[in-house]
Amino acid sequence: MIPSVGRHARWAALAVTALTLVAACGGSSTSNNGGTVTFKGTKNVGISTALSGQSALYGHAIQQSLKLAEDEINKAGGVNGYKINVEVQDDTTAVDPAVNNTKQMILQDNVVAMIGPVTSAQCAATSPISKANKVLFIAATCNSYQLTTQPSQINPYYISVVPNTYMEGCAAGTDTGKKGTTNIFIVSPDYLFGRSETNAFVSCLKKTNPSVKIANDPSTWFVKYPHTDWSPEVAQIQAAKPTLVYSNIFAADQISFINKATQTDPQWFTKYPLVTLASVDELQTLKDKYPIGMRLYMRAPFFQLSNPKLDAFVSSYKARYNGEFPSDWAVMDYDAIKMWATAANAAKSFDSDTVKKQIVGKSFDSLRGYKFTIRADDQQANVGETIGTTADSGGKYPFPILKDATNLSGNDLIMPLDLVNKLKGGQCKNDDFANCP
Amino acid sequence: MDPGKFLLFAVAGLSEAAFLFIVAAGLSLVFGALRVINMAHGSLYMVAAFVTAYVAAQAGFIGGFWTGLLAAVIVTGLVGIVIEVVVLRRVYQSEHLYQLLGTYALTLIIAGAVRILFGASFRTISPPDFLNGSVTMIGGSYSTYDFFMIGAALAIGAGLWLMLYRTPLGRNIRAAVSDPVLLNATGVNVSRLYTIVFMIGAILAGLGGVLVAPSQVVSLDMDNNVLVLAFAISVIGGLGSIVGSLVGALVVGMIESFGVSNRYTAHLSIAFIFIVMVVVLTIRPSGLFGRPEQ
Amino acid sequence: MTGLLALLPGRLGDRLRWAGVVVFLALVLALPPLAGLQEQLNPDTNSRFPIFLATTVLVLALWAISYNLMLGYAGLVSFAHAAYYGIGAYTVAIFFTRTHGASLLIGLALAPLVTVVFGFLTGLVALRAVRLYFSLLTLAISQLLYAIAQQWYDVTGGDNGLQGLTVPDALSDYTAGYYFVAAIVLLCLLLMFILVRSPFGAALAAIRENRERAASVGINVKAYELAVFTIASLFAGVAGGLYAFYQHEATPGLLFWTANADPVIVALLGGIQSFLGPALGAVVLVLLKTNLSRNYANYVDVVLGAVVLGLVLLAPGGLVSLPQIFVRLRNRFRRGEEIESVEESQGEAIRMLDVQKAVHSGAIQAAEIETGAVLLRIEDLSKSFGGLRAVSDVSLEVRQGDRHAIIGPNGAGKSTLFNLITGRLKPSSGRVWFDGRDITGKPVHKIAKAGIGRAFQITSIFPRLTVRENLQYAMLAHRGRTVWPVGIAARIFREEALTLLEGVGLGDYAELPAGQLSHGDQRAIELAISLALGSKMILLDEPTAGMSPFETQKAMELVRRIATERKLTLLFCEHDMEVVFGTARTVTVMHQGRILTQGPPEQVRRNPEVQKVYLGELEMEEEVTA
Repeated sequence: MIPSVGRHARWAALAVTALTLVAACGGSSTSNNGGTVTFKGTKNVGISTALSGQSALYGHAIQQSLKLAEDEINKAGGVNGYKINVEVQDDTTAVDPAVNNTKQMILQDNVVAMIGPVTSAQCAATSPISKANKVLFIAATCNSYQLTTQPSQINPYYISVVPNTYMEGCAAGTDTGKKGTTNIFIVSPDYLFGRSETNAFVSCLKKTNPSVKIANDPSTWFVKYPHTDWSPEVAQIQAAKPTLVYSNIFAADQISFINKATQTDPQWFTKYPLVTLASVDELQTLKDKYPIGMRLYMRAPFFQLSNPKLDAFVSSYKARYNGEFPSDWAVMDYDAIKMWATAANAAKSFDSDTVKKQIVGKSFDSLRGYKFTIRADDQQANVGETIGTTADSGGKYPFPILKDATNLSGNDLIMPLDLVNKLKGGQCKNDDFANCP
Repeated sequence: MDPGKFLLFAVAGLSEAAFLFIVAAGLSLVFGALRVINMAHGSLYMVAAFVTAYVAAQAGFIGGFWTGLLAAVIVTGLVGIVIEVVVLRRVYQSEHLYQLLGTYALTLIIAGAVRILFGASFRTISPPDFLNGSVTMIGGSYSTYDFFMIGAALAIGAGLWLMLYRTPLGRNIRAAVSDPVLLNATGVNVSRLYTIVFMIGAILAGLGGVLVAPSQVVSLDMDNNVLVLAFAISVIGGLGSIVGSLVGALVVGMIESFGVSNRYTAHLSIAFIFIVMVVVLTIRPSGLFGRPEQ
Repeated sequence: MTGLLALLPGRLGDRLRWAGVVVFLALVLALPPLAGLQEQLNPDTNSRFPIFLATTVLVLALWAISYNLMLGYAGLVSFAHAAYYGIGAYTVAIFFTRTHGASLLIGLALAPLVTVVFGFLTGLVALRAVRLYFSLLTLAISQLLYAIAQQWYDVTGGDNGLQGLTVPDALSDYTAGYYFVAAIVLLCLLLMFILVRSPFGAALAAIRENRERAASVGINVKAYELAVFTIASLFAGVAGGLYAFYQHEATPGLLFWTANADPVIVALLGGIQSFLGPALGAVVLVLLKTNLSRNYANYVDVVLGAVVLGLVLLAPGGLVSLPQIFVRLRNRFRRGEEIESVEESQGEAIRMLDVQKAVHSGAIQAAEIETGAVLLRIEDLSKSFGGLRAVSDVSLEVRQGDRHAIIGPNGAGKSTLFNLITGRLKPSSGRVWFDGRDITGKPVHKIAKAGIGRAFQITSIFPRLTVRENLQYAMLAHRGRTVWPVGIAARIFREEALTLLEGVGLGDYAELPAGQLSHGDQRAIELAISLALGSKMILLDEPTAGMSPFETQKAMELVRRIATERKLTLLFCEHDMEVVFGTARTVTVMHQGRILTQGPPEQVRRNPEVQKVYLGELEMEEEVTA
């Protein structure tokens, strides 16, 4: 070896390091370009969402909706005189990227508020970051009730504007129980959300109809998430011959399950009716292939909640985004950021504690046609859920809509306060409300 | 378990084994002849699925699937050739760390390219009309496409066997697997043979991807999910052995199918495959049907 | 960069190497104040983020350097390292969750302990396979552990992992947390560095360079591999624990086999052959990922893949090797100037032998053995390969002080016999005794330690180690010093090795990588190693193969002198009859796996059967050439 070269090695390596450090520490530059309105500056609101991966459908809708909201907010003068920039980062529906994105946005980009990610696992991982750094965290998609009631998860800066798994699961469980169906097969994704909602469903189902039979053993309820090959489950269901299948599979998994099931038997959903969580995104993806006669519970379907504000929103969304219809996630994230903007303006500040005072206990307009209130005990909004059966829209929309639908009121669904307090106090085994004394 | 139920799970397991076999056979063949583990094998599988979905969507319903199939085969074959010539040739003589890393780097590049070209959303594709039906037998309904997959796997397997045992190319490939030294001495253009073998392996990965696309969702994490299973199958069956891939794929497919439905094994089924892999590697590294290495 | 161990300071290259280390330490310590400074100068930036990134870098560096212990120093490619990282993180998280918030620090202290148990047990299993199968086995083990982490909802939180870990108040400040992490990381790096420079590290390097040779100088290869695997897993556990500390979570994804890509890429990026190289790689990777994922999220994979591919194809030595590549390219493009050739040896070593020096080198030790006692006894030794009997009922005795040659035509079984004696092959039947102990079928390294020094027929050395290191490490291993994890390997037996090297004519090339030497000089290294290790018997397999008559004469003179002066026993096989009859006191003739005859050289030479056997061979040769 040439001795002189070893000499250069360290210096060159250090030079490379130094250069990359300098390049990296460029930091984020902000601009004061406001168009016709002059702004004092720009403030960032951050969101890490699923622009790719299992829930890419949702992230896509969320990003579009937030951009629309951002424009509206800025046209109206911004917040506290500042232009609002919604920073959207892709976390591929995975937990670690969500954590990294959140840290980056909070620590580096100085976001004044965060809108929550899609999955409950991601929320569980990123909520503590917002807590540690005192940044408002508004959940509009992830919805496991543990996120607001489990002692180790409680975050004073966490606000939920989406019906949580208790509300949703119980709505479905009560609805199903009332019908008296028995021999129900359960299939659900194996992670926080799936377990939380399924347990809520089963709990309320059994309360409404104590004689109900579940077709499959609990150890087979939960399947790997994300799940691409549904052949085993399709075989299982046929083997069990249930009267009804309950699931809360969503996004890509729901699409692939429906496809597989209909491939196996075009009459599948007539033979094995499905009760499941769904959103306009799933309907829009499958269009007329989405089965008729499915019992869906949806969080904010625009066609069921028609009101002037929502109709206007649907029009602008469609106009801006190539005729796409805004899904439930688009609606709820819009509500989330509008709520924050309103509160921040009212607080005349961006400080999280100050803004929070304008949120908790206050009521806000929403696209969903009602005002919702953020309850102080668990900082959960009393938002509603829609349940209905899919039916042909008669040409009105390129996808099925709901008939026999009810817009359940959030006040009827929201978790009773005594349960909330017991959960927060750690009195319920496994932090499961069904085990509360 | 009554026959109907058994058949339900058996067909589910077989359909899964079908595409796994095709993919694993490709991986196994490449390892047997070239002594290289191609980490990018799953990526080729994914590329084929995306190409099929894209072309089928563009070409419309008529013949869409078959056009997509053809396009995917061509694309993976070409990509395979490029990979072998540009990357692999330079690392045959290196330590296998560099082979692993080189092919892993390709995984990243291909995944990134797919993302940029086709976008991050998943895609779906329907089976061709005449295959998009259902059959009712004991146990319940079965997707015609599942039977097609099983049939296709058998056909591809038979084709592979014929190629390996009835053609001069196959003879050379078998020589490369069992006695590379002799191969050199017989005057065969080894370099070109390697390229051809790798291309075949890539096309097999592609065929797997095309076949599986209508029955699942085409998404960006297809590559990793199939790769680790393909590894497991190739190892259990024996690296370099087609029969081994078949047996291994059956084992894995059946475990996934029967395993998840049983309350006792539901949680274990995934782990079980790797337990088997560990046992095989410890006791008989060359696998059930593989040739022991010197 | 030659060699892996730091040399004594005082030489310019090393002064700069130490300077690099100092700069690294300075940067580590000064980072928070620097970040604060940046925040003051540019209010749009935040000091917390660079500190957070730096914490990430440090933990990644620790993880990658621990991986490099296996990869760069022992040549093992493992896919299980991410699993140990994950186990470290989970230990902290599970302990925290189960004890309802007892200090995270206790969990952190437990993390390496728990991980090392896993590392040891899984290492026992994994190391039953070699090379590629070892890698695949680690992959399977890792996936198994991942499946457990993902499925065992009650303990590990299943797919969610465990969240919401809280840090003790004193360390909750980003800067305080950073220094805490830095302290632990630096301590671990120091420990690993000591290990790498120690005789234990020397054994690892020998294993990486030439597994077989390492065994034949007395290294129990499997045991050392298990040791380094376990030690590496311990440090991975620390790194994982620190991850849980600063990310406040543990998720199953940490154990997935593709997560191994990170430390491997980082090590490759920085430089596998360098101790701190991976640290540099960690800096580059973190910065690359962070900057890309902001604005070019879609391109992260492609860029990273391209970087790794570029490294693999063009710069496998990593960033630290870039200056060398730059110099080489510059030279290639310089017109009219000669390309600086790499210093190469001329193959003159044997000619330059200094017998006096060699004979009196401290490297050659001789055990006390009663003169004339039977040292090696072979009884009815046989070896069959399938239907072929390579060695058939061979019985032989070699007395102490004897110079015993084994001769015979090609295929007579001489090499097989040697391999049976040294343990490379296990006999089908029969026994071998050495110095009173039964060594039949014992592993290579044990037989080597018994006092047999072997020179291989096909040169087998440690190519990327320097000539001096080749000899030194052989001696360290043989004399049992390689179990020491402390001490500086480069210093032990240094003088003895250098003297012996001068004795065999390699003095000028002592600091060159052995692989660069010409074939003839490499044989001189082989000879030196066998002399240094043969404390009772020196076993030479065709020692003068490929040597010129002059070299042959000198080499055998050296061997004879040493054998005489140190009262060592010589057992060798040769084709060169002049060597045989000039050196041997006893000659054994083998033919078709059996012993034909045995006795003093002159008697054997005149034996008509022997002549017939050799004549027959001559005739066959003539027929072929005719």
